[in-house]
Amino acid sequence: MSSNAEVVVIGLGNILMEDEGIGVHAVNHLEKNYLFKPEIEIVDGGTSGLDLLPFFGTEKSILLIDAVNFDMDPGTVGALEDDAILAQLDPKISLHHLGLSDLISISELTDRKAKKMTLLGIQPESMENLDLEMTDTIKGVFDKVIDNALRILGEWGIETRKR
Amino acid sequence: MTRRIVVDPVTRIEGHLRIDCDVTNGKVSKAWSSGQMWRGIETILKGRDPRDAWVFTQRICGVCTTVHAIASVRTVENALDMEIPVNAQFIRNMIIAAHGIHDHIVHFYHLSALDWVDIVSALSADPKAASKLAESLSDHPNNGWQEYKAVQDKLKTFVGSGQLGIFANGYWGHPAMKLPPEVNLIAAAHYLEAFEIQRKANQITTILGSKTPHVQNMAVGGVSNPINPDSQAALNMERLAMVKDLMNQLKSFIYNAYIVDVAVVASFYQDWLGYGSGVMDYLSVPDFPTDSKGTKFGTPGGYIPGGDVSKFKPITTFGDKFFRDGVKESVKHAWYEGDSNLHPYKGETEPHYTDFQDDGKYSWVKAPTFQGRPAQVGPLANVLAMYAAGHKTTQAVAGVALAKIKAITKSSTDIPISVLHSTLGRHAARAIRTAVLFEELEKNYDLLINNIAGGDMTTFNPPVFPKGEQQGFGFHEAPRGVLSHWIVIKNGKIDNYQAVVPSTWNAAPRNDEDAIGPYEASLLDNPIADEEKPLEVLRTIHSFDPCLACAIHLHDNKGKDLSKVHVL
Repeated sequence: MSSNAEVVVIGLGNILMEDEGIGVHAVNHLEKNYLFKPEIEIVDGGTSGLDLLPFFGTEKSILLIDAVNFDMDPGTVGALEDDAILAQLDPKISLHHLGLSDLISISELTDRKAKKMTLLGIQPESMENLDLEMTDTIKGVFDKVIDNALRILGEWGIETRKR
Repeated sequence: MTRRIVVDPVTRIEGHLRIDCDVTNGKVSKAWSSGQMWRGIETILKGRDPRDAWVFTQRICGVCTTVHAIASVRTVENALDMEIPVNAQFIRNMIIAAHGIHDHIVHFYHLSALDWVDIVSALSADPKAASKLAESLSDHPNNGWQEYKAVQDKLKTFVGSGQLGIFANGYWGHPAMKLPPEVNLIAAAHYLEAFEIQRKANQITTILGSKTPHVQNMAVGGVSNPINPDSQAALNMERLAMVKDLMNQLKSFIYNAYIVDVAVVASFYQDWLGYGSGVMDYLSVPDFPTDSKGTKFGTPGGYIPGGDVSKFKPITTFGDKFFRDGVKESVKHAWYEGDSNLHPYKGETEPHYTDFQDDGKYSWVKAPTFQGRPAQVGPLANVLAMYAAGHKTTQAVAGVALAKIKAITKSSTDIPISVLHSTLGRHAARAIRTAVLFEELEKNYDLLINNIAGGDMTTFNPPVFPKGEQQGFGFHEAPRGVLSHWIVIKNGKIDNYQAVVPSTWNAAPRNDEDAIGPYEASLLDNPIADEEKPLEVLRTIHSFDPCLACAIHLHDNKGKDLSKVHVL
């Protein structure tokens, strides 16, 4: 449930579909291996959309970690910030739920736009097969994803140390 | 003249569902529904511990998380012939109800209302006239003109900033849009309010399920919530009081906004109470069990052949043989090997892709049948079954909704229940069912509180896995209709697992005997005003609340302008 923490890290993706699960694997790793001061909120967002609205708010800084198709080489790690996220993402609304771009629009429409937002994206190699394992390429950049997440949190004033 | 239109992908439909229609003289003459993504959860589950299956099944879909968790634990419990503590039933029931309320409201307001409501038209409404109209329709507390003015100003700012965002895909000014500006403004106000309401319903799930969006508290044998009225770590009185408070905030919206709005839309689009019936063999299952074994239920379910409620045949228990033996899945027109028509226990999932073949294979969705025939599932099937079974709340709320339509349209005759066999009837049934879910939420809350007060704190019976083979199935009347999971366990490990999901029933391609599926049948004779903008196809398909192969959600960089991406 949404807590009072001002910094929220949300991992998105489907762990059943290879590299699609990178965001969720990353936040699980953060939760298991690190302590944060002040406390932050870590969310396994799965493939949800609107369910994540409660984590948005004008006082919140939100770090999203997800597989993103940048049209770059598999394993490329990239970051998008604030309004650039919405400007870059495909606005199509999914049939079954509202995607990330819709969620950001709705947060604005319902006066919940986050103070700060960064999307840490990873270009996946494969997400076509039902497999809990990520590809070697993405496993190879996993540490880089974690390091960048910790760096961004550091810039937001969060001290981190290993458990 | 016949012209083929292909809706793939279409506004508010991703590539997962493709609809093809032949349009002849402005009407749909032939239709095909094609699932564009393969799913086969069993490949991941085979060989695993059956107690863990729910953790994986709730990842099948981003919306239907809890429903797959519920169906999965029920399935394993059925295979082991278990009883579970009534406290666990009540807690699960409250999660089911809260999730369903959330899901139905989001579907109507956020995923399909824009098929009927023109947001741009709301900008030219007179807020005072809207307020007056709203007050004549209901006692909802937010009917004041200042509130409508505030909503209109907000929409103007949003649209004025060029940021249409979530509204960008609407068919503004389409000739099939019929609501006056004031009605559009009322609907827009409720569209915004619904974001808050769905959040409250969702919070109930979060409190009871320990986390969102994936509940953590399911277990084969019950739930893992310890109940202790005095403990901070358990489901305690403070948390239950929060649930009660949230519940109380839902009621007015359901009765005074949702049900009324659906009746208003139906009144302005009466044609759509005539289009879209399609397959009229309806299947639903009973839910909200209140005993440990699953023989007493809060909401009835069953089979209605040919839309004739007098022929209603109830499904009465978990493990019901009529249901168990009635289900088969045909792959004759689906992209799997061969043309088998098998019971889910024997189900096979060997992909065999061909191109889209009008008369051959054309979908990743198998065609389920009940008693050898396609069946429509969903809130309409459930409401008709509850109506046929004499369920009091269903009959009362259906009566209120139909009377509202009669009053608004100034009809001299009563509006018959048969109007529900239609595109807008499915929306009306969903609204009626939301009121039933609310009643179940309140009822199960009271049952839980009373049982705890009586001293029963049990929430879990540990499962025991005997050697050898067991088979079982579990069903759940999910927001989109009948969901069933089927399992074969061998020596404590999963040997086969099949999920027959609601949208499989409705989105089914032609079956073993080439009979068309519910989506396909419902599109026949729908008018198409503009073949370039087939809004009417969307209206009918959206009315089913389609949800297909939700596993993939990769974000695509739309413009491929990479200047804003910091490569790390």
